[in-house]
Amino acid sequence: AIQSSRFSCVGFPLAYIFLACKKKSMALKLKSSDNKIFEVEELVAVQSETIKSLVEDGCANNVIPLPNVDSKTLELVLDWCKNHVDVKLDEEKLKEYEDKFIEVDLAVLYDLLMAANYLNIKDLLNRASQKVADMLKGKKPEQIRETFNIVNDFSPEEEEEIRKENLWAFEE
Amino acid sequence: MEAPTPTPTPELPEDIIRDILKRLPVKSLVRFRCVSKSWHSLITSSSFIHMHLHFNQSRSLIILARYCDTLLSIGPQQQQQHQPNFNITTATATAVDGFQEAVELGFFGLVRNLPYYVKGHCDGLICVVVSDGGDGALVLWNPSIRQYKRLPLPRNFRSTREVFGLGFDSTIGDYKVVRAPSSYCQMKIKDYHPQVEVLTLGSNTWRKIPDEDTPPFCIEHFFQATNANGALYWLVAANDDPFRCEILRFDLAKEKFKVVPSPPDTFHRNVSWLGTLEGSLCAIHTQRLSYVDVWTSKDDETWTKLITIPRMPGPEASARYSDYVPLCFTSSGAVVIGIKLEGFATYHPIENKVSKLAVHGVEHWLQETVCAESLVSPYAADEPAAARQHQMRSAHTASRGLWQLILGLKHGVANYFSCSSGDPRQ
Repeated sequence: AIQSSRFSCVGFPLAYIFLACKKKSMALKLKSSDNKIFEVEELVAVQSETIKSLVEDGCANNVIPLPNVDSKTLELVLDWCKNHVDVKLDEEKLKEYEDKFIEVDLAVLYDLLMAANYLNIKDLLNRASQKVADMLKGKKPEQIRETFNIVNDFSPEEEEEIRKENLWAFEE
Repeated sequence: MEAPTPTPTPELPEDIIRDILKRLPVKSLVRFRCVSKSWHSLITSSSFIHMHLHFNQSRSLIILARYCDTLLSIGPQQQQQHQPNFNITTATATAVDGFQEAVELGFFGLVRNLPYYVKGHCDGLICVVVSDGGDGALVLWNPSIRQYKRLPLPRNFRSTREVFGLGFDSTIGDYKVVRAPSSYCQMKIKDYHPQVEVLTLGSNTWRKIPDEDTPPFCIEHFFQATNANGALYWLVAANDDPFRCEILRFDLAKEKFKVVPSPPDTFHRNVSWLGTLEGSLCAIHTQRLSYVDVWTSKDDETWTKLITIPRMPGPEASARYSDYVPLCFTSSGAVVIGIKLEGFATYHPIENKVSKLAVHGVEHWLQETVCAESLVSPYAADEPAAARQHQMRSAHTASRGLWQLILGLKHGVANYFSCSSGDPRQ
C-alpha cells in the first residue's frame, strides 16, 4: 500500500525546492493519516516546528507519521512550505501565491488551521486565522454558531440581556 | 454530558479560536459575546482583552474634540472593507483606508453642547472632564465599546481647567488617573494648592501623593498627558525662563516626577509637541522650517530621529507655519498628519511626499486624541455588574436632564450658557 501511494504522489511538484537549497538537504518521508507517504526536502519540511524538533532529536530517519493530517491537507501544507523556503525570493509573487492559496472554503480552511496548529507552522497559521477572521467579521451570532457548530447554551432571557446591553453592535 | 448532535466539523480548539478572534474588530467581538457561554467568557476575559489590545496596537482611532460639541472619530473603525493587518510594507502607498470620513461618537449625550476636554488616554480608554453646570464630571470612556464610567471627583475639583493624566501601571496591573497641578487654576484661583493625587481604577478612590513629591511646575490645562514608557509626560514652562519648555515625566509605578532632557536641536528651539506614534514617545520642536523632525525616545535619555516630514509646498503662510502633528500610521504604512487649523494630510515615507487628506464631516476641532480600538472596560475587574448598571443609568438620566434644559434655550444662549459654566467656580 505504501509503495503504490508513493507513486500516486510522484506528480507532486517539487520544482522550486531545489532552487533554494544551497547545501545538500536530506529528503524526509511524511506519512499522512490516510497512510500516504510524501517525500519532501528537509528544508521544506522543517518549516514545521514540530517536524524540525523531530529532526533535531534524530527521530526522522524513518517515516514520520502525521496521524492528525490527511493527505489532501498535507499536500496543501507542503505546497505552502515549498513556496516559503526562501521568502526573500519575490515578495510580490509570494503575496500573490498566498492570496490564491488561501482562497478556499471554510472546510478546507478548517483543516489547514488544524494542520498548521499541529505542525506548528506560524505563517500559515497566521494567514489562515486572518482569513477566517475576515470571513467572520460581519456575521451574526447565529451564523457563527452555524459555521462552527456551536451549541447556544444561553437561555433566551440570558441572550436577550447580553444583546440589550450592546444593541449598537447588532446594527448593520 | 449529553451527546452532541453529529457535526461535520468539531469545534475548533480554544487556542485557535482565540487566535482568530484577536484579529476581529471590537464591534464584531461585542456581538459575538452572545454566541455561547464559552465565547462570552473568552471574549470578556482580561487575558483575551489584553491579547486583542496588543495585536491591534496599530488599529488607531483619531478622536477629535471640539470643546462644546460632540466628539468625532476617524479611523479604521469606519472602514467597510477590512485590510489584513500584516504585510503593511508591501502595499502601495496610496490607500488611506478608513480615514476618509469622520463619524459622531455616541456618548450618551453627555458632552453634547457641554464644554469638555480630553485629558489623557491609554489602551483605548479616554479620560474626559465635562463641565455639566453642576460639580462637573470626570469620565473614563472607551468609545469602541461605548462604555463609560463616572469617576469620583477629587477634593476641590475645579472642572475643565484641571489637569489629569491616564496610564497603566504594569507593576500593579491597573490603570491610574493622575491629577496634576494646573497653571490655569494656579493663576485664577486664590486658594488653589497645587497637589498631586492618584486614583487607581481598582480602588476607585483618590489618594494624595506626599507634598515633597509635588513638582515645582504647573501644567497648561489644554495639554493632554502622553502615556508611554510606563510614565505620563507633559510639556511645562521652565521655572527660570517661561519661554523655555521642559518635559515633565511622572513615573506611574514610583509616583515620582522628574524633568527629562529634550531632544537635541541645532536651532535651540523649544519642544512644542509631545505625543506617541505606535506607542513610542515622540516630540517635535517649534515648527518654522521646511521640514518637521519627529524625535522618539524609549529611555527618556537618548532621542533618535524617527521621521522627517517635508512640508507641503505652498506660498501662503499657513503652509509654511502651521503645526504638523503625526497621528498614526495607516495600514499602508503612511503617517496621518493633523495640521492645526487646516485639516489632515498623509506622509508616505517611501515616496517622501505629503499629500492632503480630505476627511468628510470635520470642520474644526480643538484637540486630537489617538487611541487604540480596544475592549478594555472602564470598570475594574471586580466591580459588580449591578453597580455598573446603576451607574450607567444614573449618569444617563443626569445628562439627559441637562440636555433637555439646554435644548429649552435658544442655540446661541445655550452655547453661552455652557461655555461660561466651563469656568472654574471662583
